[in-house]
Order: sequence, then structure tokens, then C-alpha cells
Amino acid sequence: MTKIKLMTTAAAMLAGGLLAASPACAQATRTWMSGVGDDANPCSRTAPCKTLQGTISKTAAGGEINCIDPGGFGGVTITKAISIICDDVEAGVLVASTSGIVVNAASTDVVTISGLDIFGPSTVPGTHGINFLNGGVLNVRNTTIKGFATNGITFQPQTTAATMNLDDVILIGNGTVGDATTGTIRVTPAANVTANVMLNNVRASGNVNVGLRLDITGITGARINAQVTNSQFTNSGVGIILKAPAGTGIIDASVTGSVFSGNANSGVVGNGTGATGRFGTSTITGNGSGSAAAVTGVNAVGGATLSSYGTNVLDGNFNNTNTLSNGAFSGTIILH
Amino acid sequence: MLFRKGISMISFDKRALMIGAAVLGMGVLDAAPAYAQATRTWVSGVGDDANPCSRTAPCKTFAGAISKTAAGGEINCLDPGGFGAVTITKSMSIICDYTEGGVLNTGFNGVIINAADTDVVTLSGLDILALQSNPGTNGITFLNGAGLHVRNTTIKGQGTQGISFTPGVGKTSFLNLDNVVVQDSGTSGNATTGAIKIAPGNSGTATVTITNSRVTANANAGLRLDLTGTTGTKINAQVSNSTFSNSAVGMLIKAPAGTGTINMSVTNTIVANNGNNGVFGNGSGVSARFATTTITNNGSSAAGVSAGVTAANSAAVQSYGNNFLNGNFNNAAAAADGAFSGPVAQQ
Repeated sequence: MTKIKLMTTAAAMLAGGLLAASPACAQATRTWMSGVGDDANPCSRTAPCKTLQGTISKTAAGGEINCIDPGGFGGVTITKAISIICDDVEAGVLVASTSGIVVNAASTDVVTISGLDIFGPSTVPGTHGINFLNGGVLNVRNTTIKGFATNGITFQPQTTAATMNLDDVILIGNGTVGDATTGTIRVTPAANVTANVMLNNVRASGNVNVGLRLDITGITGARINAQVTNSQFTNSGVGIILKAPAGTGIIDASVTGSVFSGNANSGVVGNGTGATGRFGTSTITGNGSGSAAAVTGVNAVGGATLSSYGTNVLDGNFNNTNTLSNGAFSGTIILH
Repeated sequence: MLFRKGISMISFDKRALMIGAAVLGMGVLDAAPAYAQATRTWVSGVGDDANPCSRTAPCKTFAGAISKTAAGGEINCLDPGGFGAVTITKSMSIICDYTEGGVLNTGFNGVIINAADTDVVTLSGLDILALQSNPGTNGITFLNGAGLHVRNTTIKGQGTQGISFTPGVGKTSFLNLDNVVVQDSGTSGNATTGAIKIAPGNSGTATVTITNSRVTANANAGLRLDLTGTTGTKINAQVSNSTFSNSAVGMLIKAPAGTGTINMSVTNTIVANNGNNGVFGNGSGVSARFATTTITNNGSSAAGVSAGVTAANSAAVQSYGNNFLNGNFNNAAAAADGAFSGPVAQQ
């Protein structure tokens, strides 16, 4: 069926060629990259391209880019619905002093990234591993992001409600010492914009500052709905922070089956009356250090609500005098 | 794993040799037949369907390979490629776990299973793709067979369903989904379309297990179990360790009085960010039980009174008492968790 269709298309193009100048290469729905490809190629299975940026222009909106074999495919700016699926080979994106993947698409566009190794060198880190500005949905799967000075992933929908799903994503070595707004994953929608975020099986370890930062400081009418499950936030400054000062907007987060440990300052921080976090079956332990404040486990300040379903493991956090400092949830909430 | 594969390779080699000898012998006596079917066949992104689909002379498409694959056999992918849509009418496995196994199905079905009542079909490692601007019909549609296993597979951009499971009148079939992603499927304005639909025919039984699967950003329902308009029909469904998010309804469980029964268990699953409802049970034939499941952040400006859990028309949507049901909101942005219809005791 496909073959017949291709033949028909080929015949049509041939006929067209007789009548008029042939157009530039048509965009294909599925295109291919190879570590030894060439961006002058049409990005077909037998004549693959070399880079993401070279391939995306030859890929139809809604189409998919695949990797034939391992390679470093460079950074890319995405302005349409697209999938980049390279689950079965090394698919490197190495960038220095710039962002790995920028998503700035239409509000209905779905962007899916799976199987990438996004990497900024520690000597010259990248800016954002992934920087989402506009679009409908961003799915990131089976991907590792390391060495980005601003954030590993920055999700900042600017105009319309957007969704981010992270599934099997690893973030290490992101953020910059001395700049507290940098870190690992940052979710900050613009004014009056909603961000829906689901993290499943995410491991964020050894980053500077915050592992997961949900933050609408200074932004009015913003909303973040977040679910975090089966994930780990370890060995950073703070595991997770939910920050929605009075008058900004709403953060509503559900955290289950996750681990917050080994963070030098705090495991879990809620800040502001707009922040609600509900925790179940999660472990918050071993947070604290010689520079930690009085409370290092769970810390709800500024009127934040950090509720427990009563099924969490909160122990073994310590402060700068090396005394136990688990803190406490601001209240309990019943299971249903 | 390696040992098992090694064994099966050896048996394949022996069988191929014997078939080769048989063909040679026959050639002396008679015109040689078309290619004999092999138990293990191969496709390659640079193959050719004129080939015998062997390891050294692979085919190009699943449709080309299947006719050269014996019933009960297996198609493997030698290297990455787009291998096209296929209709499966016999016991068969398609296993492409180690390389891109693409199926592009704009305007038609991706994989159709319409086999004999005893046939079992396994699909693993496929990437079934159509475009939202040019959607497929169904990513996978199961019409008849003993059962279907789908593993390690992504399905997106389907206009009707990502997976449609509709065993016929009086038939009993199973569906196992393991590590399956369904996204961007269903059509706005056509409420019966969506991501995964289970709808056996009259007096049919569907037994469904879904684990470790992610269903996100589909139009209408993420998982639709629906007996509407049938009689004597049954669905047994177990859902675990999965997520249903960013669709209109996370799970729709519908068995109106007089149709049949849906017996469902949902554990360790997340139902979130769906615009209308997280879980919606409808009809007296529904008996669904939930444990250690998170139902949160469902709702929107278009949502009804109850956006979390709704049990309508005498549906039983019960809780083991350890679910996380909070943070759902209605069209007035007020809390709208709804409630389970009742408790059920853990043992």
C-alpha cells in the first residue's frame, strides 16, 4: 500500500517536472538522521541528514525524526508539532553557551522528545537543556540532561495553557552556584497562564540550587497543576520548592512515591499562601548540612499548605548544629 | 534472555536448512513453489519485499514479510525503518525492541488483527504514527483472535482510537498492554473517539490488563470501557502503574442497566489534568475498585460539578480507602473532587 502510494507520488512528481520547475524537496512525515549523514540530503532512510536543525526543515509538521545510528546531532529550535525519537541509539545534543532544544511553537502543537542525551560541557555549560516558551504539549522521555547553567528544563509557557510530561528523565549537574534562580527543572508560566506538569520516574541528582522549582513569584493569575510520582530529587540545595506568594496565583501539587534526600538545605519547601502540596508515600530523609537552617526536612513558610496523607517517611534530617530537624507538614489530609 | 534467543536461532537455522533441502528436492520433480514460509523473518529499512525476508536478504515492509512468515512465527527488525501498516490474520509476533520499528498510517489503520479464535498476536517495539493534521484511523484495531499483547509501543495521532479492542459477538479475547504510550489521538467533536477503547460485541468477554502505560493529551477519553447497546457482555479490566492525563476524561467506565458487567481494578495509577473528569463510572453494570491511585487536578472552565470521581446511574466506583483524591476543580474553580460511591475493605 505504502509502496503503491510512493510510486504514484513519484509518477506525479515526474509528470509535474515536465510541466513546471520542480519544487524544493517536499517535507516527509518521517525523516532520518545519521552520525555520518549530510544535511544536503533529503533526510530519507537511504540518504539521511546530519543534524536536528537540518532535518527539521525537511520534516512535515506533526512528523517524526528518527536516528539510524549513533551521533551528535546538535541543538534545535522547534516551531511546529514534531517528534524526535531516538530511543535505540546514542542521540547526542552537545551545546555550549546556548540552549539545547528551544520549543516555541503554536498553542496546539505537540512536541515529543525521546531518547536524547542533551549535554553542556562543564567548562562551558549550556544555557537551558530544554527551554519551552510556547506550545500545547511537551513530552520528554528517556532523556538525560546535564551541564546547563540556567536550568536543565525550563518550562515557561508565555501565552496559552500548556502541558509538560516528563517520563524517565535524568538531570544532573545543572544550575549555577551563586545564582539562586538557576537549577534543574523550573516551571514558571506567564501571567494568567496555566501549566500542567506531570513527572514520572524522574531522577534529579547533583544539581545546584533546586531540583524541582514551581515558582510564580511576581506573576499574577498563573496556575501550576503538578503531579510528581516515582521520582527522586537528591543531592541538590533544595529538593522541591513550591512558591506562590499571596496575590500571585495557585500552585496545586501532588507528590507520591518520591524521594527527597541528601539536599544540603531542605528537602521540601512551600512558600506563600497560593502554594498547596499534598504528599503521600514519599520519603524525606538525610537532608541538611553544616550550612542548613533550623528546619531541613519539610518547611512550609509564608502561609503555604504542605499536607501529608499520613503515609510519608520523614526522618533523619539534620541542621547546621547536627541536630534532628525534620520540620513538619502544615497539616494532614485524609486518604479516600 | 540471550540463552533463549540463542536456542531459538539454532532451531530456526535447522528448519531453514530442511526447508531449503525440501525445495531443492521438489525442484527436480516439479516447478518450484513460491517461497516457503519461515518461522523467523526479517525486515530492514533498506530491504526489498522481493526478498525471502531472511537475515541476509530482508524484506522492506511488515505486509511483505507477513506472507513469508509461518503461522506462529515472528518478524524481527534488522535495522531502523518505516515498515508500513499491516493486517494480521494468524498467530504472529512482530518484535522490534532494539531498533526503530516505524508504522506510518495517515488515513488508515496501522495494525489490524483479524485472526482465528485461537490465534495470539504479539506486538513489541513499534512506533505507530500519524499526524494530527492527517490522522490515522486506529493505531491498532483488534477485531478477532484469542488475544493481543502490546509492549514497548508508542501510538500517536489517530483519529478514531489509539487502540480499539472490539472482539465480536460471543467471542472471548484478552488484551495486555505493557509499557505502551498513547497520545494525541481521538477527534474533537466525536465523543466516541479517543485513546483506548474496549467494546466487545453482544455476549462477548474482553479481559484487559494495562500496566506501566502512559495515556496523555488525547481528545475525549483516555480509557473507555463501554458496553453501551450490547447485552450479556463483560469486561474484566486491571489497570496498574499507569497514567491517564490531559484528555477530557481519564477513564470512562460505562455499562448501562441491561447491557452487561464491567469488573475493574485500578491500582497505583495517576489520573490527572483531564479537562472534564478524572474517573467517570456510568451505569449499574459498573463495578470498579480503586487503590493507591492519585486522582488530582482534573477540571477546567468546562468541567461539571464533580471533576474528580463521578459514579452516575448506580455505577459502583469504590475505594479501598488509600487513594489520593484531592485538588480537582470545577468550572467555578471550586474544589470538585466528587466521591467514590462507597468503600471496599482491604484484605
